[in-house]
Amino acid sequence: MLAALLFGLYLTQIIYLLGAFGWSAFAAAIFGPIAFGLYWKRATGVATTVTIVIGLGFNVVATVLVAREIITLPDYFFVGGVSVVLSMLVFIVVSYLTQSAKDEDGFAALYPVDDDAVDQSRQASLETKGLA
Amino acid sequence: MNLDKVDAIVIASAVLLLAMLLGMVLGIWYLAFFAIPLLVTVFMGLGSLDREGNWGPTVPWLIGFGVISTALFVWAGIGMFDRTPDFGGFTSGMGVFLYVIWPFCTIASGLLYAYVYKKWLRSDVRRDTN
Repeated sequence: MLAALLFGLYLTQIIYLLGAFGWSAFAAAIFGPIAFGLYWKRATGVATTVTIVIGLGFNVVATVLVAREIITLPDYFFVGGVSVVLSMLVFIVVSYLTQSAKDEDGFAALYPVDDDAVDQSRQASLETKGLA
Repeated sequence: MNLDKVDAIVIASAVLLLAMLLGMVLGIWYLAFFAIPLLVTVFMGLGSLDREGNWGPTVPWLIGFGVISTALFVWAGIGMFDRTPDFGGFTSGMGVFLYVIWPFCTIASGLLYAYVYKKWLRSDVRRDTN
């Protein structure tokens, strides 16, 4: 209760900061690995780990530096947005640098392709919809 | 290195993300702003690929969504620095965002997802469950 009282009296923006910081850290850490990792055969586990570390780390450091006015962002831009975009770029670059046959094999194993089954299933779907 | 559709989409995403990053760091608002609908469209294209990397009958709808949303962002961008509150009580840039882009993206993207799933991606799911 004392902490809540102190927060309420002296840290008027704490909820906003916790929310904004938390969501941007969350997005910076996982958006790239999930969005690209689900579909991209060159995505790697190393890139995921590096992205999570950099996404979280950059977000903390940049938030503190901006709050202390050591660095500034242009008006209307938020450090969380920079964190998310930067971490996605990091994921792409590191994936290209660390791509391996092992990761591609793992990706292929997740989504096995059976051409006959695909054709039959798609044909049935199109016929059902009257598109065939 | 052979590049497939997903590789091309990832490269396009990287270009747009780089433009956004430069826009945000250097204060070039239109780089960050106009990259948004393009990035959304690229990601929708990524999500609409089936297991074999085909878009099938969803392409015109995806392109249509991208063209309309980009046009709406251009409309909002044109009015970005007009301070006259003549669009439903808001400046035209904010008004377009609040009254047009927001409802359009909320409704159209959901319907588009349902259409793409029903017409195209459901066969992938059926195959997994059979």
